[in-house]
Amino acid sequence: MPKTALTLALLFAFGVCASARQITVSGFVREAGSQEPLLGVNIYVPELSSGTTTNTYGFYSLTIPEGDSVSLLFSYVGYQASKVRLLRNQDHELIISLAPNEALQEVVVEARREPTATENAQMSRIEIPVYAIKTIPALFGEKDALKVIQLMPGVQSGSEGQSGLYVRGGGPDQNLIILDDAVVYNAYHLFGFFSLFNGDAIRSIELTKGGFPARYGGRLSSVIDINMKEGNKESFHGEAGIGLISSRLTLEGPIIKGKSSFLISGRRTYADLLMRPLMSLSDYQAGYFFYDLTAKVNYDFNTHDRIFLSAYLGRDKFYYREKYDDYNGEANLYWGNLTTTFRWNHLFNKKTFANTSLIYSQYGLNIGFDESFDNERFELLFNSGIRDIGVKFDVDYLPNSRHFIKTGIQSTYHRFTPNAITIKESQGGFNIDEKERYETLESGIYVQDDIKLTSDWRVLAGLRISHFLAGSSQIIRPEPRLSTSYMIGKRTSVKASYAEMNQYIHLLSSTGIGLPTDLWVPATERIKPQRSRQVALGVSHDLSKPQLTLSLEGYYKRSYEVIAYKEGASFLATDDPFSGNKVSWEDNVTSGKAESYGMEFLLEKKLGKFTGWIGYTLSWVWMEFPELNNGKRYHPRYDRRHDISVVGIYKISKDITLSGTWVYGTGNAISLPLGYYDAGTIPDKTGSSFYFGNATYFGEKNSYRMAAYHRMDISIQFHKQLKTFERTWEISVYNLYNQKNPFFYYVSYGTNQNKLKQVTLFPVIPSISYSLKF
Amino acid sequence: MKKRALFFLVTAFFLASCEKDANIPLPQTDPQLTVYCFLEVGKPIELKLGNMVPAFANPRRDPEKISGALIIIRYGTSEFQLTEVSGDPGMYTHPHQVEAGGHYTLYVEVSGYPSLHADCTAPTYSPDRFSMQYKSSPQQSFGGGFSDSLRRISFSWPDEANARNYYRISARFGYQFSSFPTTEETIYFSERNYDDNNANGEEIQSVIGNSYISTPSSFDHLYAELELMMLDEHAYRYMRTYDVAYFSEDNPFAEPVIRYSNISGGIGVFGALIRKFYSAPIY
Repeated sequence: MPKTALTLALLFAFGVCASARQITVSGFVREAGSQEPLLGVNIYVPELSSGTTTNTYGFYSLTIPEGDSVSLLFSYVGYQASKVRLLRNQDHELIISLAPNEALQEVVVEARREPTATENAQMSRIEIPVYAIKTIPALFGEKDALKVIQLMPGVQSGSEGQSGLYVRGGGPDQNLIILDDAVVYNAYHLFGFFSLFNGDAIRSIELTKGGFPARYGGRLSSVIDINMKEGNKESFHGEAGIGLISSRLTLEGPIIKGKSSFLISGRRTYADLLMRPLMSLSDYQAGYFFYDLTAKVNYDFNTHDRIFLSAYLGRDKFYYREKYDDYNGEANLYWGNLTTTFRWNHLFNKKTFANTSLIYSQYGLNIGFDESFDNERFELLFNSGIRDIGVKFDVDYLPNSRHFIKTGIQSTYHRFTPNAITIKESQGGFNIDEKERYETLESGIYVQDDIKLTSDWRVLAGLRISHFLAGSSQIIRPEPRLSTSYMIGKRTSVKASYAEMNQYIHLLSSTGIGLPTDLWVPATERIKPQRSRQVALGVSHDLSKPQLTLSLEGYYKRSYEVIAYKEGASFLATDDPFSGNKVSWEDNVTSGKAESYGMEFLLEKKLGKFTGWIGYTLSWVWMEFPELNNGKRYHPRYDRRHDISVVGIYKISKDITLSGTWVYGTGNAISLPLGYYDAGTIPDKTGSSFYFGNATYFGEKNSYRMAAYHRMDISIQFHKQLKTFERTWEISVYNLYNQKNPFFYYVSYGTNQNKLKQVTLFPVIPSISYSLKF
Repeated sequence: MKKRALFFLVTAFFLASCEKDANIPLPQTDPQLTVYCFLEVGKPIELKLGNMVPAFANPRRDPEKISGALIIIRYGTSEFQLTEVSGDPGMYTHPHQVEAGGHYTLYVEVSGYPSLHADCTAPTYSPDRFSMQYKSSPQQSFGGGFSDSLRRISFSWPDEANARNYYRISARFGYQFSSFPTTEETIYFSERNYDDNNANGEEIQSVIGNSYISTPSSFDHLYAELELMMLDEHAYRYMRTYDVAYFSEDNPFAEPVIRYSNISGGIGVFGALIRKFYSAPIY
């Protein structure tokens, strides 16, 4: 009886009809020329009102009833649609190549209802257009993927110029940033001013803010899934660029034509090289640089098996060297990520696609100090970091046109080193060699099904079971996920979602802006894992002329066991100032809860000569910690009532592209001194004074607002196709109207009156860059 | 020289925009009274009254001691008006000896300020015993007949069952050499405040305190003294934030500290404590 029930349930669930024979059309969709896989391509059969989309690797599978011939329409934003007519008398394997459109022409589709983002069950997901990353003006002309994400509703930047992301009230630690399946722990260069993702090597970026599919886990607020390009399989190409502060070079091409290709991309800043001659006369030298290197190779054994090996290496280094007489001193601060991913795609059959990934990820911060004088030598080395080794197995199963099932398992071994310090002294024997290390195992198993219940109603249901093992203690938590969409008419849909998330690692950040000194630490007995629940409700509407997508989403999120530094604590406080006792990071933090809610509005135009979007977010964020602000709830620094982004890209002609952005945000919530007084204490036996020093009265935590932030950037690109390559000159202006936005405030103490001073980081900054593509 | 000039020009370009007066309304607040009163069981009442001055007052002002205030403390049906101590502005006293378990209310009135209200209840419990764990590092002699050593000690004491209790410790080593008077050295603790959360009725254990003591190479005896204060909740919460603010004031990266206050209409604390000293010889 149970077997029968199970069989019936499966038959019902999969909608298998024994009386009608089915055929399966499967294959891959790739970009014409380069053979790069295209993910998210819509495949639609107008005669059957049935369709599917390609997965991350460009694979699709569509099972339809046998019958008369039908048309398959392959469409993708920015590419020319392709239509294939085929007989429904047997299975088909089709590899489709789509050619890029010039200037993202508005596609005229013969089908009556092309499936759109509106129809997708998943909500709170935004595909970041890669062309926008390359076009939108940027600080010093450095193109930055994370800064483009900041322009999306629901996503906020922290401070002026910073790449840190605050998504729906969550901190930068709550974003899962994945590069080819590998977690990137510190996604920033230059103390957070630039992200480490080089736009030349990126194939796709997806941001998910809520309604998380079950395949994702481990963070509370967002998932940023970045896929690197694979490299052109047909011919050798390259891109190079010279900017104000860095230069970059990308090369790609076939290793074995049609079967294997490579891509290598690098970038390095050269401020240190330019400054070096200016410092050559001094007794000291100081400098800073960063570089990153991305590489990928792949090989197609056949249509069923492919392997990929991708790697990212990035480093920032700040150094200071001093030399005079018998003294030699050198201080270094360097940090960076290394990720490596090996992936194997295997097609079990026409309906089942699998990917296996072996992943290595490492982030480390090193502070070194070495000085020698005469025969004495002193060396100090501080290390902090995290190292991951993971394995991941994912299966996509498309039994019929009503179901798209994804299931998988993943496990990651983390090794945390929050603090490791070595001190050596040649004379005096002052030697320290201390290490704080934690080892944990984080795993997850999931299943999700994108179900088309009717032609108008879709449900994406999933369950993830997460598991965390630290020493002898383990935690197992179920994480239900549910998203649904219902079409009203042909162009409007209503969506709703619910997601529970758990986060087993914490980031100890004293600033929240992505400084390299931020420490990753695991959940422990004392510091519990963070967890959240989020509901969202939204409406999407596609306008036909002009082709615009309008979406409005509301969300409510509660997070528990979120952590913050205790009042008075900081990452520098590793030793008690008086007793000299070691202070564990667990002593410096406190746990509490957070609540965030808001509305997001996005009007987007993806096609045509003029593209861009307008985003508006109205939001509230509250934090409540028993040990902070006397237990009263307060707004965190990044609580921003209004956040507006306007982005426009206009292709004036084939040779000229004009783009601009304007952003506005309510000022950050901060604590400012309201007054000064003498604070008293209980006099003890040795202390006779009732008062002990001056105290600052802040009122309640973060009860004051910085001035509102607003800024406009513009850029113009001049393209020209020369004999062997295409060159682009870009002139851009950051902060066009020279708005003096506050970076921070401080009190200047005066004899007659104290003053509040504002420090601004970036005035109007013009930049120019040159790039070429061949 | 040209290179240096160029270097400074480049630097100046990037820093040119840096600083100016903030063009936002300055935070405004009215002056407020500050009150510090820790009622100690068995001791007369003492209260210190001052004020908080606005950070951006024009002209700039410094905090002052406040004289001429009407300060009344009520206990049961009794009412005590505090008098200002001559020659100690802002210090007010009353000879009433604070009683364990007594509930006291405070009222302060000063012309030009809002009136203040607060209340607290004096604790009743004080442990009848304590224990300590002592450890000393090897002595390092540095000449002149003196030596230096790190002495570490922790204390524990029993908590009262089925009651919410709060503690604060202070401790010192004492030693005597020949006929010289007793010398005392403070013991430093990373945490001086404890509550009985998750330790109801159990032994409360302090963190390990340290003291570097320079002593004559030989002395007659060494002892440890624990000063244990049983606090009410207001005094405990205030002292916790007070300590955190004190320890972090020189750290520019530290989070701002919001000091606890239970004074309605003002700033400060109206709390209570029992103080008890425990002493034991080490050798």
